[in-house]
Amino acid sequence: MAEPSQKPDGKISDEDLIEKFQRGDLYAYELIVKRYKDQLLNFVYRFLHNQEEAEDVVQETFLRVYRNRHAYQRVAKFSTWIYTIAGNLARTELRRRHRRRFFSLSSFGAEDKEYEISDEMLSPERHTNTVLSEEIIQREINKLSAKFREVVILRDIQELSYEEISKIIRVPIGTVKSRVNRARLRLQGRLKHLLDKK
Amino acid sequence: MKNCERFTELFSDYAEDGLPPAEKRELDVHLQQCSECRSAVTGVVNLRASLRQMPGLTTSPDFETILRTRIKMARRSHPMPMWNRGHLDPRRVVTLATAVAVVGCFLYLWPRLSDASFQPVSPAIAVSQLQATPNGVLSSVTPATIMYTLDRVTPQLLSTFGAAGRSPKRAASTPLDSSRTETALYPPTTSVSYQTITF
Repeated sequence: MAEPSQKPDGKISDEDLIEKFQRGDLYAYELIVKRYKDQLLNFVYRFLHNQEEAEDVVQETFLRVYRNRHAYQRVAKFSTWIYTIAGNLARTELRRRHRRRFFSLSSFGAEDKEYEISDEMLSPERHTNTVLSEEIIQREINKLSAKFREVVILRDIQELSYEEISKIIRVPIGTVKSRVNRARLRLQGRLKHLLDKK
Repeated sequence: MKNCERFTELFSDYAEDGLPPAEKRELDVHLQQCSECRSAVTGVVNLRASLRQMPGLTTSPDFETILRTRIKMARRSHPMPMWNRGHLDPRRVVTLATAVAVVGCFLYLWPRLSDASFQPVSPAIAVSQLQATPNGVLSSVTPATIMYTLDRVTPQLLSTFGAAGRSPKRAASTPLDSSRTETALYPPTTSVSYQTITF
């Protein structure tokens, strides 16, 4: 059997952990959960902008890793595999949410329009501190379409390589780069007032 | 404007310092002349810095407890399918099936291979051999062989011999007729009795 490979920081690699788990080592699974729960939460939260839903999606991700552990094969990086599962679940949740919103809004009458949330409530002049800047950025991220949102989160917040993003979302690297560029240009156009202050 | 569109596609690579030197020099020249593109590139650089500084979230304290509970519930309500269990992966199943087949073949063939004297005898030969002995018994014919032969003795054959009602004593006293060969199988005087064959 091959010697367990280690990360530069001396930790056992993700791929070795999942192999141990495949052989029945539950402690290895717990280590995987500890290693990835916050990373995945940040990824999914930036995608859904709702911590409760994001935690639920991350839980479901780990549940699927547990149930389908034998589907993982070492030809792929473990991080790619788990991000793919989380991304798919997040997109499904987003579609579900859109359907719910469609049905709830379609039940409103014309007189209910005053209840719609207005972007002016969060005008940049009123909110200058860091927390609200982050909130404004997050709101603008949410306005991006799912395919742009996903790549910009993976690249600029999760700081994954283009190659890994390409494998996670299963599109060519050139397409990933193009999407990242377009997403950044849209965001910087909408956040100009905020970014110019920096 | 046409140039701006072309350069816009390079902004991300430029901000990440990933442009080839020639393209970078070309874009630098353009940025010196175009304030709009310069502002956009600065915006992209600042945006990346802002996104990296976004505070990280942490899961709630009971995240792992809830996960354990969900796993337990899932295991109860949906037991893992057999093909998804580690010990039943396809390679193991194929190996196991091959082993079972080999053992089965061995068990089936072993008694036949080990019994070298086992030679199926045609009913005609067996009957003629039986008739060639004083008691209707051939020493080289084992009981197993006789039983095998009996399986092939049809009721028609037995009736031809007139076995019914004949005593073993009379059958044993039947004189040897050298003219009875495989070509003269069923002479009317043949007295192989049912009892003789099945002794």
